[in-house]
Amino acid sequence: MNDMNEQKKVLVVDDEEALTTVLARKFTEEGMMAYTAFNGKTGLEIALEKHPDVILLDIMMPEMDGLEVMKILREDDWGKNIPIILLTNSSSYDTVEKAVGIGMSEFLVKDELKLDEVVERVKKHFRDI
Amino acid sequence: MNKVKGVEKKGYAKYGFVIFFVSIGIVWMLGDMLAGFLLGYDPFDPRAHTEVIARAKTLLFIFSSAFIGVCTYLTYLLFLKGLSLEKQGLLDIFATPPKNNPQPIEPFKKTIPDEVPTVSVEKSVSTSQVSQEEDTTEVLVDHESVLSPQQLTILYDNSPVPYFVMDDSGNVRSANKATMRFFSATPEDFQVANLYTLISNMHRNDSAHAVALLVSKVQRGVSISEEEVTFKTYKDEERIALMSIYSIDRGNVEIPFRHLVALHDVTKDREAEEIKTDFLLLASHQLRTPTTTIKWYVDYMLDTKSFQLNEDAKGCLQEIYTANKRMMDLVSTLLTVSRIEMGTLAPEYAQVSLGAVAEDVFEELASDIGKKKIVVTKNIPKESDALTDKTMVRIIIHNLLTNAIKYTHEGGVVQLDINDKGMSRLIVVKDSGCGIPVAEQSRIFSKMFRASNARKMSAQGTGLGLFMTKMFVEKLGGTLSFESLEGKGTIFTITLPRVAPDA
Repeated sequence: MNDMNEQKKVLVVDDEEALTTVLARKFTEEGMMAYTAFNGKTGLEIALEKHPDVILLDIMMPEMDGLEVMKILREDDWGKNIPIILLTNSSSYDTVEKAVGIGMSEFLVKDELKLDEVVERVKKHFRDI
Repeated sequence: MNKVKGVEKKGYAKYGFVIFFVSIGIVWMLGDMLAGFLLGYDPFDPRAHTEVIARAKTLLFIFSSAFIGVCTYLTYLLFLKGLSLEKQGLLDIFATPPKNNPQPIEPFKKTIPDEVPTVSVEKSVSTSQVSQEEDTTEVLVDHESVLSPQQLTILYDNSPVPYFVMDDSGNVRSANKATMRFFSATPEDFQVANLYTLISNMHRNDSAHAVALLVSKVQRGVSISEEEVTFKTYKDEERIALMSIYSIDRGNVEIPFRHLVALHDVTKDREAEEIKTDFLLLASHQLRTPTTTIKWYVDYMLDTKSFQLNEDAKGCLQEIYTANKRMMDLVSTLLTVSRIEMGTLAPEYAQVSLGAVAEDVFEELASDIGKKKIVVTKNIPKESDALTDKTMVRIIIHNLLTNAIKYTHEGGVVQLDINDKGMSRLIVVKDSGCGIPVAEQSRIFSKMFRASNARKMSAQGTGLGLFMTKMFVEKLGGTLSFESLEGKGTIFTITLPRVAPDA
């Protein structure tokens, strides 16, 4: 679908700014184009404007939570097939169940992963496109 | 009713005696004086005491005693207990005694004797508006029993448990005071209340279906026991209660308000649970986010070549990383323990290969094993499946193996065997470590306990590992035992049923 040489675009949406920033820096280091948003609403706007290749989405956020953002994206023509990785620390069974229902691509628990493992997961989704 | 009077009198018996003796004295004097006055003699003149006068005095004495006795009793009734007796209907002794009319309720006495109190409650409540002659409850009241219908009414009305009766369509009658409080309602509100419209939510996924099911159960007279229901009060608040409904079998007789509904208010309990859950969520989110941030920044600094860090700086970062990792493990252990204590940690059952889990744990601990040059022996059969919870089993094996490695000196031995024992799997972890002092063996499963020699060997440790292990083993229907010799080693033996009892 995409040209393999084209720079991949990643959007990171998380209200924890330091965490979002280090992820973005890491992705930039790995040769990707990284966008950041610190709340759900901004995240949704950037997603619809920049059409990233992968979206990393936190769940608990002010303004609009991750599940809501994902719901709206899944109803969008462009957004319905885009890989959305939920990145969270609140891995309650209910949340996961809800997220599966809305159509998440992957569910990652932050404190179980190293930084380069997160990068690996994102790269895996590029290959799948 | 006779019984009741007896009970009432008993408490005042001591006063009765005093009154009795004082009365005798007064009557004797009054009798003497009255006789003297009536018969025209001096009561203090011993010569006047003829036989006729003596007889007259005795007669007067008896009449006066009776008079004073009646007066005392009436005074007692009217002034000491008068008001409340009237209210309680206990002054009925002065009214016509209830007749024994075998009326409509008679059949139920025979068919369902257990329901008798319910019937009399319902009847006696409704009779408060009806005249005494129609009171048929007497039929149902066992005269040997302690409770009169009136007492039952008082108990029903003032019971801390919300009670009301209703018909098949959910129309509510005779709601007691606790019901009014529960619904923040006035008696007027309850003149037209309907149970089904008061329900705001049944605690099931499909609320409308659940209410329909409830209606059909009520109509068929099926008892309902402690069903959790959310109600909307007259002040528009939500209240959660466990609702029980007992119904009288209709039989051939029409008896519209045949269901007794009891509510058990659990709103406060549910709120407390919610606060606990909120705290856990807060703890997990607020504590884990900063620790993750630290971890990823250290990762980033160590991995990014452009920083050109020297070895010393890298070593420092590595220390931060290790300390942070310990904090993360502690947070997750504390969360697990809180979940166990709250009872919200429900096992998720699946076929689990115990051997595969053990291998996985060994892999994780490989560097620690290597560092201490510990000799590991594994006896894992090909088939070691059990229907159990994988996460819990992993924590159990992980805790036992980390302990074995942690408390075994360099070059020691750690052995893991998985066997069968009847319908259970047996996991045995054996080490040549420092052992557990006999005096402390009884306490090793308590929360936050660490044996004295364990504390000397390793500063790190929360004292939660074995506590958690025991909780999990028990949750999965297994058993946990150990043998230990200080300075020689320890053997932990766990049995886990091949099929967990709750699975």
